[in-house]
Amino acid sequence: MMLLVSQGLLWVVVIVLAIAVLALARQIGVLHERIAPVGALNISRGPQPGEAAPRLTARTLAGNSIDVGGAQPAGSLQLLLFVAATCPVCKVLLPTARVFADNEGLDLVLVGDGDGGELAAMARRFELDPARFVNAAEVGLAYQVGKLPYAVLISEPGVIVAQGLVNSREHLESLVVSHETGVKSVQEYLRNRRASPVNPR
Amino acid sequence: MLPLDPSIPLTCRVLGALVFAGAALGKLRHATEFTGVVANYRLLPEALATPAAWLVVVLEIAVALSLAAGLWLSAGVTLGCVLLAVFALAMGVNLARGRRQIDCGCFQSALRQHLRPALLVRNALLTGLLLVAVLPAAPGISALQWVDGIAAGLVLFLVYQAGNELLALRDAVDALRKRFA
Repeated sequence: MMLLVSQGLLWVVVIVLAIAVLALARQIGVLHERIAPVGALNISRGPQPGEAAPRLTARTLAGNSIDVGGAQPAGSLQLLLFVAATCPVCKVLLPTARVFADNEGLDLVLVGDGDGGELAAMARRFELDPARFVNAAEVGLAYQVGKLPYAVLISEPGVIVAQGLVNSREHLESLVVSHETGVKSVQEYLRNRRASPVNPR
Repeated sequence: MLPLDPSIPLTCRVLGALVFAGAALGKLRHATEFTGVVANYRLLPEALATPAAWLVVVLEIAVALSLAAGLWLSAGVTLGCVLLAVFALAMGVNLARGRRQIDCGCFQSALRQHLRPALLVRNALLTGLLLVAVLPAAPGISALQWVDGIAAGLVLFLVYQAGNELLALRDAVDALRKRFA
């Protein structure tokens, strides 16, 4: 009987340890899923960071015309966010993007390409300003946007600071970080880090 | 040769029951996705994918129950080995076709698992363990042997799950590397 109890105790310890190992392995998996793309992924087509941002005049959902791209008023950064009514990730990102642009003091311009009614319904749902919501295919063509949601950050002199596919707040933040650090894309950051043997941290 | 300690086949029975129950549960939790996975193996006509997916789940539950209860054990073990062999064959055919990128449909991890030869090795090891469950053991089983067999089976199952997680992790690491190469 004594042996049975001590053996049972031993097994309890082993089981608890095995559960701990499993939980750790699982957690690493979950972390990997979260970190997968660590920044907005720049797609190497169209105007690149450091080049001039094409300037276009486009009609908004409110009916007025605004300038998209090109030089910005002093001290202002323009964030173009390309979205569609049919893109599920866009819906997840829109509320975040609105708050993010507010906090960072960015001039958020949404760019859609499709049915005006659907886009207007989306603007209402996410409390977006229809006067800053452009519905024009030309903008997407000028920046050669292939995947949504896609964001482009444009600096005061009308230069593309950073751009890429954005799926989360971290990706949007990476664009502003890029403006602050001068590193143009997550790809460039990783290349630099690999080139210098000493970790900058 | 010494007769086999009855706790050893018991360990294998417990492990096998948990593995099959866990596999069936994972597939049920991702039922729609699993049907897609079966279709993605491209071995059956599209219309048969859904019934085949359900058949797999039902058979896995049957194996798990047989092993857990110890009823119709030889039939349960045979069915389990056949299932493992069919899975291995399906994976082998797709590996030979070079379709490594498809999801294995194991649903054992937070991450997707791509096809890789390690999964065939895993199936072979599981088959071996299932066969041990029906090996003749010394007659009579003590309370201590019950405790040992059940606990060892449970611990091995937990370690097996951790192994699956780590196997899936290699895919995630490869994907990250490729992305930023």
